[in-house]
Amino acid sequence: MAPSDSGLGGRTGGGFGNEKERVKVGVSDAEVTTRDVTLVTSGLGSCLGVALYDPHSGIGGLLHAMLPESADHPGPPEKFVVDGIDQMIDDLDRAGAARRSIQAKLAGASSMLDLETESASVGEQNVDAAHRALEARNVPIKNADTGGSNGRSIRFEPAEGKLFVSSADGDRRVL
Amino acid sequence: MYVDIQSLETFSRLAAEGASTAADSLGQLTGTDVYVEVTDVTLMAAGDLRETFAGREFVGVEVGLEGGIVGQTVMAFERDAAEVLLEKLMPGSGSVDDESFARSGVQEAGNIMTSGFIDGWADHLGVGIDMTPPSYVRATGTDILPGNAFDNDRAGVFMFESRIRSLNNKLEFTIYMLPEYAGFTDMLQRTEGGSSPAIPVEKLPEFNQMTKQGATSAADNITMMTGTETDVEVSRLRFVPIQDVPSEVGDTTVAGTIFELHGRPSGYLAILFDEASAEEVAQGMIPTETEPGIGEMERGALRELGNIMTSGFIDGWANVLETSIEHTPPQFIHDMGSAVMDPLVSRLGRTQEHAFIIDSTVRTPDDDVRCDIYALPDQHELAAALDQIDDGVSVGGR
Repeated sequence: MAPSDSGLGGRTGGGFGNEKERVKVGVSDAEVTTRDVTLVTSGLGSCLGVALYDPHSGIGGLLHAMLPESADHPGPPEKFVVDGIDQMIDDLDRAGAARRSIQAKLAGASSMLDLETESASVGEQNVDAAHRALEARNVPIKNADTGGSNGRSIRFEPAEGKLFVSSADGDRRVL
Repeated sequence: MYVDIQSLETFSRLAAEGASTAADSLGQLTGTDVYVEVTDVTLMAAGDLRETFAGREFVGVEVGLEGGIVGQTVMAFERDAAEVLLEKLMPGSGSVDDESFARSGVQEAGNIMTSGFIDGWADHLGVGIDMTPPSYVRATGTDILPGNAFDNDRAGVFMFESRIRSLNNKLEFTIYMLPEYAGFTDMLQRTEGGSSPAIPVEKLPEFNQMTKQGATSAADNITMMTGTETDVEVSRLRFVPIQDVPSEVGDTTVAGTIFELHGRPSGYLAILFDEASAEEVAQGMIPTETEPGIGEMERGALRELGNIMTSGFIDGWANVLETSIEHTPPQFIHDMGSAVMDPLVSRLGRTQEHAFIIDSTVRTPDDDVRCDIYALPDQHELAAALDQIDDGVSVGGR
């Protein structure tokens, strides 16, 4: 994951009207940008979306993490809430964000299914992990829309620090 | 012959990287933000591929490989996709019908992609791979495949499939890469080593057939419960990076049921209908008129239907694998398809980086009802279970 100051699609002009260019963030993926773009990720069930941004510089990023912490589990840092947050803070730092100004917004981590052999759902564990990791790194959580039993798709505009959350039943929230 | 899961993972990763390099190049050439949504490795019985490709027109390039890998490889697009791509590459200068224009455009695109793939493989294997100059191919159905890749006597066909999309431009197409079966499986075997579990590849098509039988009995149960005629359209086994499983299902809202499977193999089964189909089948099971939409009555009906479909499906597996598989009671879901798969993938993702996804589509002849059945077995347990399949069972194309 590298700051996408050039990146793909730099010349597309962002499609229709004044809509910003959209940049896709996959599952177990993160994107940090210095540009005025919209970061989008969809299909958050138990996965957690973590938006981090520096409101002064407008530099920000979005993480779509699957599990709380790497521990012994296989996969890249972006697969995990804690490891992904660490990586994203480093990338924000490198991209020129002020470390002390970084703020967070969270969305996702629902508990749609009651899977056997689980004390807490993956969604709950992901939210706990995010709270622990962000608190330890002195990053305030400005707003959150987590839990419940619905899936979510999110769009993040780092320049404004706005996180748009929509669910399958048509509900929309702006955090 | 055994292919270890680690090798398959490596090739899946190389294919994804190759496709990503290709997408980057295409993005630069065309000035669009193309990205690879998902790259999967499919192993199909020859007969199933024939059915899937039937009547579809393809254009592409074929290259011969020598050195570390020997054989022919075809990189193909559907003709419609090639049209869009050519328009992006060389706006306003011709169409796919213009043979020489199509030839140069497709060769250019094919060249970029093939080299991306082949260079990755050569690096990984630490050997030199020589490519013959790409030759342009245009054909319908399985005729697009290299001569030796499609042979009814062989166990199956390996296919790499990369779905390429653009967020800001309406562009979506699939690149197929089909290596010659024998050369590819030899290579997978050659890179085998270490202690990771191995998949007996010659048994995969048999497993696919068995899944199709399971899906057929699940489809028969829909017919029995609702009076609607149904048929299994296609059944395939894919190997994908675990994080890409949700995008295989897509963001469309679905309704249906999820089951946990216990036994050998354990895993999950998702029976997903699009909303209109869910309503249609549920109402077929409810004797009285109900309010439009998916209410409590419909939920109950879909749970019941899911239960009986799942029994039919896993009985097929258990019979062939000679194991016993139990399933939990159904959990009803009505949400974005990708979000529904998320908790399942998270659970499997603790121990594996890739997943086998077994996908069967059930449809009515008039296309009113569509149901997708996704099975996500634990890959280690699946490997062990496949090994138990009798060697005497016939395999391969029909």
